Amino acid sequence: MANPQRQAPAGADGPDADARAIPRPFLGHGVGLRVPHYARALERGLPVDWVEVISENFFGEGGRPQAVLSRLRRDMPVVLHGVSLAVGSLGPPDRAYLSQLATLASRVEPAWISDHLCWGNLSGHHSHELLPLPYTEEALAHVVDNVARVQDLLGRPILLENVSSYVGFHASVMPEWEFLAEVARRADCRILLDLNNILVSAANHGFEPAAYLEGVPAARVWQFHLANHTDRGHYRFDDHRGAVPPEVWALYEEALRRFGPVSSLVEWDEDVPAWEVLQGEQQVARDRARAVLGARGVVS
Amino acid sequence: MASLAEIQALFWRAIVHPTGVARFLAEADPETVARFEEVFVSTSAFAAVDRVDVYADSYYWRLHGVLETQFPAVAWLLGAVAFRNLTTDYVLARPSTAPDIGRFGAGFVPYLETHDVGQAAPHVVAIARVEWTIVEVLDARDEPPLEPTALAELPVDAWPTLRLVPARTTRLLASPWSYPAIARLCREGGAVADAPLEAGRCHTLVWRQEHAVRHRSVSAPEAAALTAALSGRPFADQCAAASEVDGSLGPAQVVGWLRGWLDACLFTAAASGEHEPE
Repeated sequence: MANPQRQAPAGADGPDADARAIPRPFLGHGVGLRVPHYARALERGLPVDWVEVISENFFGEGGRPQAVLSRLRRDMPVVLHGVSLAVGSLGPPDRAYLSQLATLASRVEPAWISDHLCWGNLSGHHSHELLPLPYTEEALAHVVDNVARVQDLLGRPILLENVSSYVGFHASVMPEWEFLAEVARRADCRILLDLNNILVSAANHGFEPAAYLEGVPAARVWQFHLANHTDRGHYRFDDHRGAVPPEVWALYEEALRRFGPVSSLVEWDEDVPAWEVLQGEQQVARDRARAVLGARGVVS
Repeated sequence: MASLAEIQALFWRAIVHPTGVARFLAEADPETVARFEEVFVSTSAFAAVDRVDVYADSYYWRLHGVLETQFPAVAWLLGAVAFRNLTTDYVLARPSTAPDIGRFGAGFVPYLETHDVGQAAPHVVAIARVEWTIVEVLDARDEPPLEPTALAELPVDAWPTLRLVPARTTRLLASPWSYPAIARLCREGGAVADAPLEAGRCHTLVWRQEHAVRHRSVSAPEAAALTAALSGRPFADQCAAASEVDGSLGPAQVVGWLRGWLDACLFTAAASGEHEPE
């Protein structure tokens, strides 16, 4: 199969076939907390609805990271977003890692915990990359099994995020959105839909972003990521450098129309701007949600 | 069709090859090359080798970036090319084994000690050791510091047996090179040629105060007293240690240093007499 990202029906009864009542919390509009904003967070707090932090950055027992986290948690919901779960890696998830994550979660009491639908470890070595999986039945069964183990250990459902990808596999037998939807259904987990990643992967693999939105079960989509990427000519690269581009905003509005109010978050990782600039992006996200959904699109 | 394990093994081999995926394939056996074509999708605009190379590039740059952040003065002393070569060697020799990428630098100092760069430039190893200590102290467990007022009413006869408990975030490092002087020059964008690299006898104190990791040079007599204090020896031994270095120094000087140590939150508890500090 030349292009694994084919457009395909997401199961016999569509992606929302398993849309049993899963109450979806709505946190409003937040930002990804990054080191340059720690001082501001500690001294004055951050005037946003919620923040997402990189879980591994807070595995230490004390110091400024914990002080910042405690301060923010007093003020608002916090989401733990990991980058090292590598749920598609061979073998079971790292128990020591999960133990650290569980300890952090018990301290922070996050709104939820998320990580990526990817792999990244082999034979005890960590690449620290979000490596894409082949979308096969074998990979699906493996990921579902690992997600179930993680959720058992953490005692809560997790959210899985679609990654930006540059590589496709001849072995894939379903498009990414179908794989993600099926993982969510079988493992009973939730979905963090990164709209920037959808656009990056759509350009790199040649599929329609709208097909992705249509292919995932609405009830399981609990969060959006909004960010920028770089056009490198023959491919797009996900670098989270710069303001959210118009193309991502347009997909965001389309996603809001399909999914309704979903907790949304702006990420900016390279050349992190002044706080006011980042907060401005968060406000744009909120304003657009209000424009699409009215008052129910924002946290009052 | 390739299994998940086969795909991941091939993907891994391709991205950890130090000179890129094209070289990996050029050096691979025909079976591996054929397998690569069977596994990865190519398009006319974006060949499989270039697609996988995005990850190979990122793998090395990401780990290099972590080390550059954690060892800024080492990077400055060596220069961009030599540091990049060193970190590539390190990534190859000691791939990351911790889920937290922030721990990747944990093996860098022991590796550097055995590497040609460290063997030829021991000052770089010494600087790296201080910089890793700073990383370790950054998020070590918080502890309530011993307040300066805690010793205010200590009877005179209790002072000789006074013992202190150091905070987990207090470290004193001895080396022939002054880290604070080199770090300052690095931070201010100075020239490496101006770095004070004459070997001497220096001590660098690393500690955390109000969530910030700090460091400063410590004189030889203060280092002697502080070393005694950090190892749990009583105040009388601290005074004796300072006096061994400089016979003109008496207990009053050590009390002066002690005030500064407590102001800087270097200790968490104290006890005198037969009591062990809690």
